[in-house]
Amino acid sequence: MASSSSSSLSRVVVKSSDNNLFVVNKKVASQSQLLKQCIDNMEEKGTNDVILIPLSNVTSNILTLVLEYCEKHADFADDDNNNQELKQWDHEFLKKFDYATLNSLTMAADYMVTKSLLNLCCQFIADSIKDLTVQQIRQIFDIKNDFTPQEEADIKNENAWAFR
Amino acid sequence: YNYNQNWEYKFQINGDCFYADLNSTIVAELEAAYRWRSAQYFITQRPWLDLYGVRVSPVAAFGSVSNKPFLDPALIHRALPDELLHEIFVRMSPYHLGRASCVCRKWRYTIRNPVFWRNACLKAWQLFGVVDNFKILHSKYEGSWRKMWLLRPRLRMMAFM
Repeated sequence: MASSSSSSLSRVVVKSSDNNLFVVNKKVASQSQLLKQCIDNMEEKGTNDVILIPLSNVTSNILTLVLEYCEKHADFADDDNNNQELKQWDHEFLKKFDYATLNSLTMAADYMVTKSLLNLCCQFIADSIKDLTVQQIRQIFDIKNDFTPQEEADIKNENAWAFR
Repeated sequence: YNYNQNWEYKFQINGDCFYADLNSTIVAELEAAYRWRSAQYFITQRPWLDLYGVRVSPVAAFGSVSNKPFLDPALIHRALPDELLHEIFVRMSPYHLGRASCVCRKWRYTIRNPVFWRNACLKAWQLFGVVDNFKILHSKYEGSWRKMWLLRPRLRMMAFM
């Protein structure tokens, strides 16, 4: 990167919402468009200080995960994106989490504009919904059935084509 | 008494014969009415003052009986804003969407979004090309992608499962 060589520091500091500081390599940070924009703006101003980026919406345990993901993907950034090993790693990475973490991770990815992570999370949630019956979806996601019996019968009827 | 002159003038046009007896009875009534009418000009109208002292309670969330704020028990609804729920649904096939719309009202209305059905239609009939699909949409299905998906005959492809 041309811009990073002109600046004196190759690391930035990211602050989570619970005030923990993370020292991040610029190459890793630039996986997130939000961080990249911040860094680019600061560098345009020509600052020589350490760049500190506060993230008010991301807690430190979620930020750790996002940065772990960014780090892995920064390593592979020079290869082409369809790397099998990376895909395998992505899948293993998401498989460990419960739904609460997965939801927060999705939110964080959206907030930090990490497109590939957002895509990955949404795809993962979509895939986990796919093979479930309506009953199972309600159970797993703890969604209340707010249809009246009449409505539900109508909707089932209207969408019968999808159950064939 | 400007009004009295107007009144007399009016009746003079209508005819002299009515002038005398009508004037005496009607004018007394009209005097009160005239006062009300002219009152408009010096009482400023403040319709919002009608609401003064009326307690308007906020409308409770749909389906709730109490005034407590509505808290969705489903984590996915609390944690993810609607646009991210949309992002998830975009990545599902139309058959899964049809099933998912039976889960709850929120999902049903989210899935009514024509974007999903447009994607489904353009994929299912991609051999026709986008332009022709749009033409068929407007000529046969009243511009509704969902209608097109439901009514237009198609081969079911295993890729959609």
